[in-house]
Amino acid sequence: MFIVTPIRNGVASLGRGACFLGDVFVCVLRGRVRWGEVFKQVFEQGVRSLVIVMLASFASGAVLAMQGRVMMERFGAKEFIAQLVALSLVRELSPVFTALVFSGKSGAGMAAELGTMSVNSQIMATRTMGVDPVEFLVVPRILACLIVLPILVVMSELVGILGGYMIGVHEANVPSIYYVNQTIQCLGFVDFFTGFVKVFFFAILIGWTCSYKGFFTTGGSLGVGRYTTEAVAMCYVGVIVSNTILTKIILTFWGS
Amino acid sequence: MIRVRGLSKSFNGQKVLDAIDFDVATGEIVAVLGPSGTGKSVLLLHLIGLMTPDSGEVDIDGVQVSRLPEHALLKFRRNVGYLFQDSALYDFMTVEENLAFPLREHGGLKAAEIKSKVREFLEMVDMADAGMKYPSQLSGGMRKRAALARAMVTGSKVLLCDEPTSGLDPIRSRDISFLIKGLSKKLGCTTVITTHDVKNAFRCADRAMVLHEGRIVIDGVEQKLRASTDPFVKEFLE
Ligand SMILES: Nc1ncnc2c1ncn2[C@@H]1O[C@H](COP(=O)(O)OP(=O)(O)OP(=O)(O)O)[C@@H](O)[C@H]1O
Ligand SMILES: [Mg+2]
Repeated sequence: MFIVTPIRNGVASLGRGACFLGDVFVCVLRGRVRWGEVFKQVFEQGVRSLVIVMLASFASGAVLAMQGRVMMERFGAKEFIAQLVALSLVRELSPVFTALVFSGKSGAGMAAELGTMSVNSQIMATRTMGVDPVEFLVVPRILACLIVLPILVVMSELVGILGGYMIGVHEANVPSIYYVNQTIQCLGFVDFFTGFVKVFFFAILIGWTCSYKGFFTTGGSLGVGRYTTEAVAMCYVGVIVSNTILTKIILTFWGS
Repeated sequence: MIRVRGLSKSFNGQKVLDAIDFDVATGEIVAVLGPSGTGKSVLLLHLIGLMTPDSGEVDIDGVQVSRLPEHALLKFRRNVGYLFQDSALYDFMTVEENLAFPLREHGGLKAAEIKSKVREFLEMVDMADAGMKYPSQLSGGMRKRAALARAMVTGSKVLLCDEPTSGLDPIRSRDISFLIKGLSKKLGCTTVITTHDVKNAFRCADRAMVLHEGRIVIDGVEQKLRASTDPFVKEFLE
């Protein structure tokens, strides 16, 4: 049947993926965490994504301010650019943008590394040396995602606001002090918090998807390319779709 | 002592191993011969519990490998050295770090002891000056030798080598065959080698078996194999 088979395969691979994540959790709960490896990964993933995340954030903050200026001027409310930029970035754009860029950079790197190790028997070799490859190779990567992504998001929010400031102050001629004050005053803890909780979910989603795909890569170097692309595509879809659901849930609780 | 009884394995209905029986005595070197794709790697993977048989048993030094759960297998595998067909050195570690890795994992050694052990084994495989290099900077033969050193460095009494000579030129193949023989005898390892390289198999093995269509068609010393009248064995040994 043309529809049953893909659904069955999908459910089966979701099941395998869940078991894999279960193994990861068991490892962490038993305290089998190699912190040295975690920090190596934190460094690697951070370095991989840092520049591109900052660039994207600065640009999106600037673009928000440009468009915001046009929109706000229509209502004669130019002074609200600061609020528009800060709230959009902190509540929504920075977490989602950063997660997407991070999937494409660090996530892809993770999937490709593990994929290469899988097709070169390095993962099997880990087992032959009596070491659990999930503990040695996967747990550090997923934990590193959980550490790096939130840091990147906070940096992205700051840089994005800076991008908005440049446009707001130098192009829209909002007084500098006024812009800064508006930004600080409009941002409540709830704005930061509702954006930030999502980040931890995205981090697990990206770490899980990319390491799972990489870990079970087969088919030589062609396979590495295929599985890595699949992993990144799944992250994109996963982040965008889960963001909608999460936003709905969060707004239900902390909406007003 | 390795004892295999009635070992069978199929993939998607294709029988790769069909009720295989054989023994390897302690300290003996045995070669499993067979053309590409006959299931030599599959056989070795069963010996170390990386594959579970459909039926049959593997017993290594009294341990029922095929019955162990994964966490016990991880412990058991520390007593077995495994040389992968494609070397499988970690490409994010230098050769020295690759050798130090199993030693560090198994614990009980001080940093200085690990260092001297790594040196000792790198010298044994004639790689003393390549210790700081990454696997990607080595030739295929050097990677094989480094991987052999890694498989043996923990002092395992069982050594499993998957195609130690594949992808190497005749001289390197000869060298690594003698190297395996020398090291394995020196350290008293029970060794199984899989290969389709008949000449080098007899260079290092005490005994050889030929695997064909999932069964062992002949098992014995070189003279016995050479004297065989079985058409497949004859053709393969040509
Ligand atoms: N994980 C697997 N899933 C499905 N089939 C497999 C798997 N591993 C091996 N096979 C099949 O088992 C057969 C034997 O494979 P194996 O790798 O053991 O051959 P080999 O004798 O080692 O060959 P070579 O000399 O090329 O290494 C092949 O037909 C292969 O397709
Ligand atoms: Mg093979």
